[in-house]
Amino acid sequence: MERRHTISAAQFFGMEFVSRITITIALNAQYAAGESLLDGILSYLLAMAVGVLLALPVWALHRQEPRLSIGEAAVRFLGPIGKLIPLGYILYFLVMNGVSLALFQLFLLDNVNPVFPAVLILLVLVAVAVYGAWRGLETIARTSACVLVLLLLGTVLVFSLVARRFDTENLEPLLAGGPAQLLRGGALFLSRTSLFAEMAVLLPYVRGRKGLGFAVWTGSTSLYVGVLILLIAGCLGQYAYTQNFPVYALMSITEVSSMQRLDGVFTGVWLMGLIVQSACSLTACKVCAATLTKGKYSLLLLTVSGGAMVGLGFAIASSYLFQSVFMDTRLWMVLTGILGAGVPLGILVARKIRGERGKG
Amino acid sequence: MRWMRLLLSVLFLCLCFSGCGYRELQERILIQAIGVDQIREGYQVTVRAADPGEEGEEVFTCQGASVLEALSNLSLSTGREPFYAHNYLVVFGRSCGEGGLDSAMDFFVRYYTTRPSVQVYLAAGEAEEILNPEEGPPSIETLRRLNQGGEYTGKAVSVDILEFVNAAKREGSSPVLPVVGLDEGRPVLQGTAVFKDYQLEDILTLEETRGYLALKGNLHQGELVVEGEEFGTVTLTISSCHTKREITFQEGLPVFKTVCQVTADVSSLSGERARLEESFIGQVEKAVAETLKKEMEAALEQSIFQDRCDIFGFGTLLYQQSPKQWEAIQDNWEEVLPQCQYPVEVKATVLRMEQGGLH
Repeated sequence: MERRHTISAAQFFGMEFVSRITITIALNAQYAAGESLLDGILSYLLAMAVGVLLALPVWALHRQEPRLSIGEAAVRFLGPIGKLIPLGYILYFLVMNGVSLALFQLFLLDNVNPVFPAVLILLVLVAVAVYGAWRGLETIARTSACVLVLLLLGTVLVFSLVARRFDTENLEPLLAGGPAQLLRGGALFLSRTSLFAEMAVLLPYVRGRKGLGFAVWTGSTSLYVGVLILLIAGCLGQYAYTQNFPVYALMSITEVSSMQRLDGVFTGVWLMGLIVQSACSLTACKVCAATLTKGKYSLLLLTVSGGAMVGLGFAIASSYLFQSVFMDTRLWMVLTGILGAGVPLGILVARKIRGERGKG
Repeated sequence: MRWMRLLLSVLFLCLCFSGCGYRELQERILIQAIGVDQIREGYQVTVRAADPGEEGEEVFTCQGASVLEALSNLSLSTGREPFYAHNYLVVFGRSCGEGGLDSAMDFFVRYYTTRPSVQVYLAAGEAEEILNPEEGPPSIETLRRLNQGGEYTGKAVSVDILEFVNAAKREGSSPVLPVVGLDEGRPVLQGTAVFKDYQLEDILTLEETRGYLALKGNLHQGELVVEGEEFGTVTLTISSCHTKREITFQEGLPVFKTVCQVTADVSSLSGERARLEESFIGQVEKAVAETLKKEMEAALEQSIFQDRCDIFGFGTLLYQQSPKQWEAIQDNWEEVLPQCQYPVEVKATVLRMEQGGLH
């Protein structure tokens, strides 16, 4: 792809903020927080602290080669075998988003129960994302700016209304269950963070103060997730564990006067966020594929990728076996660690070795 | 060409978003209240629904092996699909309480269109009697506003599904429900049902309920009558009540001290006394404190010492403040509960005397 700085750091990390929130509002209390909901706040902070360390190889590689995406850097410094790297990233983005789509489909089946097949909604959603990815990163970034405003308005409205039901009796002492749950929750949040892989692919297309953008992203998502978990803990309490989607349950108890049952806000926010998240990942897939196909057949590749996402999402939602495999936190910790930090680190080492050989 | 594409897109979207396939209003039973009674064959449900065709309401009764099956069987006699999203309240019959509420309540927690903010009651007898008494069914509005009765009188609790489930699942905690009975065909709050896990254990009187609310810090309003030889019979209106609870330990067991600061205004005098001299204010305050303290101790005696149900959240408080101490006794909490001490201190302040009075 031609090297153009197409979006600002604010736009990129705004887009990533929307993606983060989209993943977080689908959280299940039992997996994220175990016995104590409030521990989820500490888990997220731990995940962000580790995430800063994980992101260091990506930043270092971007500093050394600011105009190369991870796929291009892999091919340049690892030779022909480097072509496997962009392929790996494509698979990572497809499966990560397939899981997100599967969660949305499960939500639709559990809580909305539409008359028509829920997979049709996924098809339309991904079709919009494919269109956005085909139009380019700037299109997605501008869309996500609008989505971000709607997301913040909607959630601030809901948060402020639901806070009336906050009951301190629902709170539990921090770390009452020991540090094991803290680590499990942190691993869950970290494993579902595709930011590091997306940065590795898309940072060459971002201009401006990227370090500041990353810091703001880390702080703002920590604040948002912290407030969300605090409200779930204080307003829902143990009831949250009886629900597959506690954020949805939180929004369903929101009421003031005739304004009741704002769970539709949740569905709308999630849907919009999924479009942005999928479009961003599809763009990253397009960038990786361009390394292999020299930028040709981009629309075809996007369409096939989108179809694969939907197919995978449908398969995961329909099969317990697929769910147990693709929703395993350990699998995603390994993949996120390898693709977010391991591969950039490996390329940095290969670059250094090639550089020393060249001097020699 | 661009306008043509835009027009075709708009037409296409109109077709997609026309909402075809959804049921019309008259094809649904718009449920507003549900009563559940346990019977030998399973459950009997009594449903109050809005009539979509005319003004007014409909009443249906149906049976099934489970609550959901009983509700679904309504379609067999009506040809319409039950719609639960506008359900305001659920009344469980006493039979459900005695048999264990968990089986009957699971539907209201798990089903996707039910709401956790639905008010819940326990009927003194059968739920069917409350929703469809012989004298004629009370309006839905009357039933909906029942939960506010406790707020005005300070003698009844208001519980929804969310609060009941949390009280049942919290550490060492026992849930409660308001009890509703009939008085000349009209629904009346009669007390508070105490549950152990999900099984009905006892029922507190209205006065004991006020004591319970004061201990929980949820007493905000209501009238209190005190009597004394010097000042006669005085009715006071509670304007505020602040409760503070603290835990200390004595011989390895927790001591849960409750300090309640209540503020009240004199609202009426009964008997021959026409005025209440200011010199009697101290005695009135003392009488108010003693009356409220007695009610609080009665609630403690009934729930803690006789029923061994921690409806006041003492176990939760201990868990929050001293998790290690809680860990040591949580498995035997039911046995430890009556061994703990629960000193109660009430301080009353009469702020305002009456305007003038009758005489």
